[in-house]
Amino acid sequence: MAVKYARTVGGNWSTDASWSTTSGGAADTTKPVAGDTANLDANSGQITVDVASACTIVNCTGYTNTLTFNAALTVAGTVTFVSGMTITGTSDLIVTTTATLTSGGKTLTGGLHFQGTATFTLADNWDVNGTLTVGGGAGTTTINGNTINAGGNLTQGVRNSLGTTNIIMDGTGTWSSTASIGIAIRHNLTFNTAGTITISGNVRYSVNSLVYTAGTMITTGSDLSTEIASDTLIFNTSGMTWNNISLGSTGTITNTSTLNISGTLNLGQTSNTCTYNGSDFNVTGNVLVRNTTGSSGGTAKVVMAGTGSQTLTMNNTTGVQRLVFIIDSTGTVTFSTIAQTLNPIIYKRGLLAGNILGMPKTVFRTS
Amino acid sequence: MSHKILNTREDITKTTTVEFTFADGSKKILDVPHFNPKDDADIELGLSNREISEQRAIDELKEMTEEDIKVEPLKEVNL
Repeated sequence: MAVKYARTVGGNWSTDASWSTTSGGAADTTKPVAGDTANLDANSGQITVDVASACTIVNCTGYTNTLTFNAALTVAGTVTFVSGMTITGTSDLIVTTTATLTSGGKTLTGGLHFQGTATFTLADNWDVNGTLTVGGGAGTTTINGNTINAGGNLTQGVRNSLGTTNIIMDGTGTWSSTASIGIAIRHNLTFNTAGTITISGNVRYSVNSLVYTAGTMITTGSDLSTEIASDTLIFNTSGMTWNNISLGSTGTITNTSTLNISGTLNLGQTSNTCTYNGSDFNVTGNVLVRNTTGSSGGTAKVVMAGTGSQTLTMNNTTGVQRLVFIIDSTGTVTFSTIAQTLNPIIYKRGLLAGNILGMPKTVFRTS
Repeated sequence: MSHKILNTREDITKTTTVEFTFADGSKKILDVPHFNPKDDADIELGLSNREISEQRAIDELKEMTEEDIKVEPLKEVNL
């Protein structure tokens, strides 16, 4: 493993003449590559990552110049940025191996990409203006400590991302995922922006708290699922409306505030016992209880509060459905199956249709 | 626009009950959660962001024309 210093003249990362074996030294080596330590120190000039490059350690202690990311830099170890330096460019910093990452309070103007079966420790908060990618490699990624402020997109790769690091989406961007069911982001996640956040396609979330503080939220066509067995999580998102949500874990899901859903609410899983506590589900779309032999229960109530047509489907056979449903619709609620439920279905208003055993059709009045 | 904090509850998520006053003079009281805020400035940032989000929603609603808001005709139902 070679130790290399960016020279006083600086230059492109890929140019051998930009590097020296000593601080402030002559051009006597080659560019850093995987396995090398790249030091940018008090004697180093501006360095531009001009083509996709790699090294094992980036140490910017004492650096007061500018590091520009015009291409991705892959680091398989410690990253140390410092307050006195400047970071520019829109390309990614890719971290792949267990290490400590220090931002020095600088904003990463490009993206930050976590990948690989590794544990990353954030020594301080990170501000990322580009895309924050988590779970992007071949195994579970763990990110511990502090907070990542994601000012752009949040992308989950095909693997789990877990750990104590909080993620705040604080800019304008899109949350998307390529993970299959059972793989999820498991960090505390907060939406807190004056901008616009788009939830795109299928996104996966599990464990910890999902909080909406502020932001213009676009959820059209999206589907949030929390389908990991035994995972527990907290929703505190009453200020926004989700599209489809699927909640199928065997852990406890707690709504700290009303969970608003304009699409389909999928509750339970076939044989799982699922618990939903806290505030209501306020649903203007359809509701499907997917338990067959399993059961759904808890203190949270499901309020069907649409203005158009809504369908309530309960798939339970031998399973017991224990949730309380409230029909508070100004449209029509159709029972597409026979509703087998331990607790009453409370009727407030709306037209009823379908399998409404024991309930004459459309005769209910509120006054 | 302005806002006035009416109540604060504390756990890992602090919740402020806030009365927002919007550009048209309308008011709205909302519970705004703040996950693990570092300080009061963090809370104020969240409130400022929320104020902007809510104002934008009001503005977008006002910009909608009657054609955008399609109201289903009333249906007669035989009871």
